[in-house]
Amino acid sequence: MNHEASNIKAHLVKGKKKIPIDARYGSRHSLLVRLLDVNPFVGNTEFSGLVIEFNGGKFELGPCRLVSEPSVDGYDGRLIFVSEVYDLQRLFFESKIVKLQDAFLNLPLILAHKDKIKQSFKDYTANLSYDLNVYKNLFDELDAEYAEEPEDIKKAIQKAIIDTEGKKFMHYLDDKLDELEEVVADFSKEEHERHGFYFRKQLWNFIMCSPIMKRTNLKPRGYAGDSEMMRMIYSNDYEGESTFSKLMQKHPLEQPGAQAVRNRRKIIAKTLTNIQNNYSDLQPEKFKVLSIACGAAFEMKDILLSPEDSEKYHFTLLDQDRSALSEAAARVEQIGKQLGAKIKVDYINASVRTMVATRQLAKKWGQFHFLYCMGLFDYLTPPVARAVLGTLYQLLKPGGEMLIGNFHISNPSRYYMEYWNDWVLYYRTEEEFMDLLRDVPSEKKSIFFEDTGCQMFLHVKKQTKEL
Amino acid sequence: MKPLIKKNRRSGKERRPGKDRRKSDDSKPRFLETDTIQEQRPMKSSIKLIVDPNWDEIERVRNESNGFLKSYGLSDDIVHAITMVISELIENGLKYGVFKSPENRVIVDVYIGESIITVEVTNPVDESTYHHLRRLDKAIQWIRGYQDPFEAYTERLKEVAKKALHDKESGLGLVRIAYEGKAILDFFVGEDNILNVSAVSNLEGAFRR
Ligand SMILES: C[S@@+](CC[C@H](N)C(=O)[O-])C[C@H]1O[C@@H](n2cnc3c(N)ncnc32)[C@H](O)[C@@H]1O
Repeated sequence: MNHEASNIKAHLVKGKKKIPIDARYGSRHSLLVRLLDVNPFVGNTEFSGLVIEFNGGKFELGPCRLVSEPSVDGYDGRLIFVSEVYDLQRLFFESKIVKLQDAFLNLPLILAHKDKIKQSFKDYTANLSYDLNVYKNLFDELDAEYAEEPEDIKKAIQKAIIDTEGKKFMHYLDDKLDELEEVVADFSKEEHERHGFYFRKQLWNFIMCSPIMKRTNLKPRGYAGDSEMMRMIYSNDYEGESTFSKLMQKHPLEQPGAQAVRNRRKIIAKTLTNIQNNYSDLQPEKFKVLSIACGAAFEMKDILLSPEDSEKYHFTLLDQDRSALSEAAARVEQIGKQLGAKIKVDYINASVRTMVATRQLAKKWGQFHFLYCMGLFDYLTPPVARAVLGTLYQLLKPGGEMLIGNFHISNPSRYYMEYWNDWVLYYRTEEEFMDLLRDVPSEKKSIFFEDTGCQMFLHVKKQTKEL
Repeated sequence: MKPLIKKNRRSGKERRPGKDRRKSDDSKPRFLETDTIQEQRPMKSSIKLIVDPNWDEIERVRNESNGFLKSYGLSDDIVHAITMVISELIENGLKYGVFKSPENRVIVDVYIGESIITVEVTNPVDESTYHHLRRLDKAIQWIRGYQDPFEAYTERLKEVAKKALHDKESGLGLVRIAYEGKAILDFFVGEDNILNVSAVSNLEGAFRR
């Protein structure tokens, strides 16, 4: 029933009196009302309560005030709530009394969450917050000074500031990261979590200045590592509204963890072309490649460099996120246009968590010469990672190879990612990574690292003859 | 400016020394289908519990798993947390499982490894469960998107306070696993449509002193 449009029986309460009215949804937090008896009220009148009946239910709401509003057709005015403020949309559509003040229910819990924060950490955070305020003010003041300059002059001035004081600020942030690492060195997992929460509460305004940190914290697509965050990591630019924002953006992007992501992109292209070289006699068949959790498939640009390259491959790109797949498709189309070639790509929108259920997946999708999976295993716990790896193995042709990335437990950017970015990964040691393969009868398996040492790759070659 | 690639503060090859604080205890009670393997590495142990699709079973499984965890020398806190995780996951299994034939059950496996304890709960599902699994996928990513599960917990409480009366699912169970149970949730659906929901907890400081 559409209660928004229709009148509902209700009565106002004033002392012992019940005043019958017709009420209608006026806005999310107000009602339009018509008094059914002679109108004894002029101007603002307060009532101790309102009782509404609909859908077989009776809802008692608290103190309210009738505000006369002559412009509202046929109604005597608008009722607003003066103590507890109700969400009338929820009331009319879901028959549920929800108060704006409900947001405060958790207040004692959240305030108490700071009780176990260590003094040394409080000191660290307070000093950092003070310093960042000072830096931000200074950079903002400088921005204001040259704000009226023509665009190209402005850019040049900003670059000069970034190259001088900006660099010093980045050094300062580096030192503070080292200090963070010392302060939290002995923390348990639970202490890291609690202190991370406290840290972000204290530094929220600074975090919001950096486009990447804002996104990793807010996770608008419901998960960390979406294609927009990946774009920022790959482009590694000074993005942001102000000089301070630009510096707060660039600093995390220069960390080894981010560099490792850029490195792995190159490794994919290199490994893929090396393996493809062993299949030179494949034509007219294409070299079949599967990317699991492909995101926006930025590496396509590194792989497809000539019209001949486009001829060689048949890609299948899989991701849980439709937007990421659309971006990947747009990228492939653009590369195709640039190269004047048609690139064969299939897109699969699926989650690896449920794809394992598909019986005989290899029959459905075919088998692949090479498959790779970057930025996914960092989120899978061992039972799931093991199951997914087993399925991926079945998707390889005999003699096919796969490359799986996972951040190593020693990632030096770990605390930066966790405390500043609210970005938590499932880290592994080499043994733990290798152990995921314990049920897989591969011909060759090895682990190697990219240059920063943050990230390792499990390289597996399937037996030439299937058992 | 410092070099772009900073030094690896803790070398990739550095290992934490294996922690083996477990005492050998011959008086440990024996559990049906308990598999205790002695290796060079610290002892591993596991228990498998088979649960009939019946809500009354939860109490029995709670008691059995509780006994198993205690006998292993785990602290009361962690025993309490893991027992809560197990019962939440069984509830989830009973709620979303499809039990068409008598052999369809909920199966609970608990593995105590060197550094983690894993609870895996499996049950059959079918296509009718898939919309729930998509929600589960999102919910798990959302919960794990917070470094501090406390944040997911308070956000969820806020939502629950606002939820419509007819909405049966508070979604608090999963959040409790992360927050009170201190565990990392994950799931997959295996071949033959077996849903496997797991919770992995850290064993640091988990043993009685
Ligand atoms: C960190 S990004 C990596 C993207 C790309 N591989 C790269 O390296 O640029 C992680 C990607 O994994 C995808 N993803 C996360 N969980 C997934 C799942 N269960 N199934 C399929 N894709 C998933 C996300 O949608 C996201 O696009």
